[in-house]
Amino acid sequence: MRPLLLALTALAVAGCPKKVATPELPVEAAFPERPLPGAPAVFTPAVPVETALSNRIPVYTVTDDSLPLVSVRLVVPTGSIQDPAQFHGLSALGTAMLGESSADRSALEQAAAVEGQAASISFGVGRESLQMSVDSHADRLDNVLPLAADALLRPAFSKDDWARVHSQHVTGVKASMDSNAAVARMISDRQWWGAAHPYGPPTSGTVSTAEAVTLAKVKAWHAAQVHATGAAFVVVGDVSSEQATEMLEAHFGAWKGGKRSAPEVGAAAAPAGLVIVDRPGSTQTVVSVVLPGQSESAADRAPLNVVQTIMGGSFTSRLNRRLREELGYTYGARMRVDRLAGGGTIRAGAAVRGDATADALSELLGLLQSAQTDGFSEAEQGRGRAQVITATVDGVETRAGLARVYANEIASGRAPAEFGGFVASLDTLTPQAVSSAAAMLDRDKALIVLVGDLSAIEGPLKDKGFTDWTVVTVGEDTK
Amino acid sequence: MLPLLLSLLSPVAAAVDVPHETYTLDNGLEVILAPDRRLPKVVVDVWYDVGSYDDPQGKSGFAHLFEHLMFKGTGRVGEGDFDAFMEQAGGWNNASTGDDRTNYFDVAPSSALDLLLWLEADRMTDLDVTQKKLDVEREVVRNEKRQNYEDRPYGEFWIKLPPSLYPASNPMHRSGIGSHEELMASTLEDVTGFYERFYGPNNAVLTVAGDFDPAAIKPRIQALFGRLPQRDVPERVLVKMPRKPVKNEVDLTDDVTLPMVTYTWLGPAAYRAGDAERDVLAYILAGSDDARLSRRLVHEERLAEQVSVSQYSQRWDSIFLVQIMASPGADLARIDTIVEEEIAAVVGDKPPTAQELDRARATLEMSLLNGVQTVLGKAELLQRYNMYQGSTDYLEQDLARYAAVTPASVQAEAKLMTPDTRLRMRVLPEQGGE
Repeated sequence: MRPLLLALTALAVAGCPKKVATPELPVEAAFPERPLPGAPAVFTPAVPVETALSNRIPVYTVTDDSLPLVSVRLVVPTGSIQDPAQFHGLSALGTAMLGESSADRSALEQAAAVEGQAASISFGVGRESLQMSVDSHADRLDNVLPLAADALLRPAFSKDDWARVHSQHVTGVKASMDSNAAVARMISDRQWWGAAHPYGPPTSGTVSTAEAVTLAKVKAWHAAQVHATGAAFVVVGDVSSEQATEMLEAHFGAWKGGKRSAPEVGAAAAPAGLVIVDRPGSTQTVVSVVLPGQSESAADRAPLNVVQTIMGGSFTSRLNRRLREELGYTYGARMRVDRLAGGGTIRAGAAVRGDATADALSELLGLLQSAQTDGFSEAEQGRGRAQVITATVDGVETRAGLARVYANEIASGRAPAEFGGFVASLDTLTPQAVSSAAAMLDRDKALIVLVGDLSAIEGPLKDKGFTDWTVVTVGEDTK
Repeated sequence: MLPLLLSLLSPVAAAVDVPHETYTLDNGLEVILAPDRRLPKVVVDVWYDVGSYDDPQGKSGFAHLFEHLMFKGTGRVGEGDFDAFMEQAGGWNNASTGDDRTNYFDVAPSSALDLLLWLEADRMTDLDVTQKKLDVEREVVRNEKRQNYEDRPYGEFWIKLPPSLYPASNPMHRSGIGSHEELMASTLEDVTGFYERFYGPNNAVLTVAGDFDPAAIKPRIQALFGRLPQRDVPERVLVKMPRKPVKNEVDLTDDVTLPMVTYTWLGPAAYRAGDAERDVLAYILAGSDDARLSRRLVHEERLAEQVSVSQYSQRWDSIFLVQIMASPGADLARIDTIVEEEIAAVVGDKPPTAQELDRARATLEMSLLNGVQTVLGKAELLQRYNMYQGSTDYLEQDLARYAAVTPASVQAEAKLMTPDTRLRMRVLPEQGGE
């Protein structure tokens, strides 16, 4: 694929190169033997220093002065599970309004002020947490944090902003359904959890529920949900713990707490079976297989993470090797693990050639079964563990990456320091623990969602023994 | 003004300094070593001076297909083992094919560096490709095309863009992913010939970055790569790049909800005169929500959901791309008018302001800093400087060219961007859409 080079980010940097003479060395007769890698160094993630603001918001700081950059993350324990059923999308819309006009600035003035510091301030919301992300040059952090505080704590909720943001959001929801992968995700969640379950609807809402949200409801949402109770800051970069705490105290120290209701999160509907969404003309079928997983509070995450990597988290994973490399059905097959407070899922899938849909599905289910019944070899387990460790190191290489990892720990109800425990547990992982996790890959419990051209795939599906399915349409929310 | 700007930029140069050294083996392999002990990881990054521009006639997509075959095994490494060995050591890898180069990068714990170097040296000399491997990998590439272009909303735009910009006589006319028909035409003889022509030490640059000791690794590099024979690399015949797209207006349809409207101008190559100006112009037009085009189209007239403007700086030319996701029911002719007006305003009565230039430069600074946070980022940036400028020592000049940007120099580039010199390509909803 032709790579698109983003000019501003492609500028290189260089020190002072020195041309040195090539050392003269004897050339060996035969090509050297393949070396065996040494044991990797034990990686211990940086432990944050914990302080607190006067309103008891904890601040976790990791100081790194190798570059003059700082990333700040704020976690607030509120998300789309708090949205009333007929107004799904409320928290997403409310979050979208943060960063528009504030008490002192119009939306464009706010944008200009942030740009003037060459910083970025953004907000995102998931099912269970809202996060604010601030990235800044270290020298300008104290100019940027008040802008972030204005956006979060004092949004103006102007009618003009609302008209634009609301319209764009609803349009975005409609347009997202152009993608078969997005449709597969939406249908999988709705079917798996149940349409009325807090985890069932998409965070963005559907077209009809998002359209129903009003500005008054957004204001009420902000007052009720965006308060200091349960919030926490993570700061990573060229700033000391004392400096970070002082700056945050100045701009967030007066933020008050409140009450928040936690909705009942029951069990998933978890219906096993085959669901098809017809998208005539699709050259590929998006195949998505959902299985029961782990909740956030699971004591030991490492075994399932290793299973996920072995099955579909690396190039040599079983799914990718078989479906892409050996059979040529797909450009890439994956498995992922999603954990929420009320439960979790394991998802395996790929976008496969339309004419290979039935074969690919059959192969995928067979791979799940063989993993469940036969487990993994020692070599596979070692490879999976090594890959999870590498992915962990990669994930914390940037300031924003480390801040995100710790913020996600907090959002999952853990202290950031517990991340070190997860990393350490990878070194002591036993084959028995991995086998126990592999036992979760029970194809008989699978919900299968196919999004593709029904007229092209139904014959081969029947030939392969997949005779019982439900065709799902998603009404006005998709085409 | 200029001295002040330079003094503001000098701390940037100091902050993003990437200590490194370079040398060349007797067989022509260039080596860049950039130690960084912050984390226990290393990157081995090899750039070959071959890309989609060099696809054989009638075989578009070949260089990219070949890139896939580089992972399929050698005489010493069985099929599938390249990735298995690397992943067993905790590493991962990827590659990408551009018009002008193909890069292969490996990321692993520092303890695996010797293995990474061995694997790269091995496949530089002993690739093993069979008809079966070619057939399977060809199907993978065709799946990549289906997934990333044919079944992806607006994906067809990226297929149709090159032939709308460049004449058929220009190799850039072809899309890098290739056509299904021409991919099917590739043969084993093509593969062998391509490898023997382009994949040798004298057509490659090896960069090692991360947690390692240069003194310890140099003998190893010599032992592994110093033995490799040079290739008889053919001289690349560079055609003159057009200054104007071959087509002026193209409309496509797709199964999408919203129309996408794009305007493209061709321009100077990366780092050449005018390239920095176009970067700055892109920022002025849509670098933030309150930038000129974003403000007018998204906020004031509500004609667009999203606006982006980018200067894609390439080895032989550049693409200045304005990309607008139109709002439902938007008057597309009005969007045309506004884009023309805003560019004309830059040339005429609303030249770039000092504040706009300063903000563009500050954004550049942050981009540089963010880019060197990762070991892979450092390796890729050094490689890019080396390939495009013939030297890794380009930071000061690179920053200086942005310091030298003035309102007048930005205006000079904007003056070249008229409706006559552009390609307008639109992707319209099939169903009559919104």
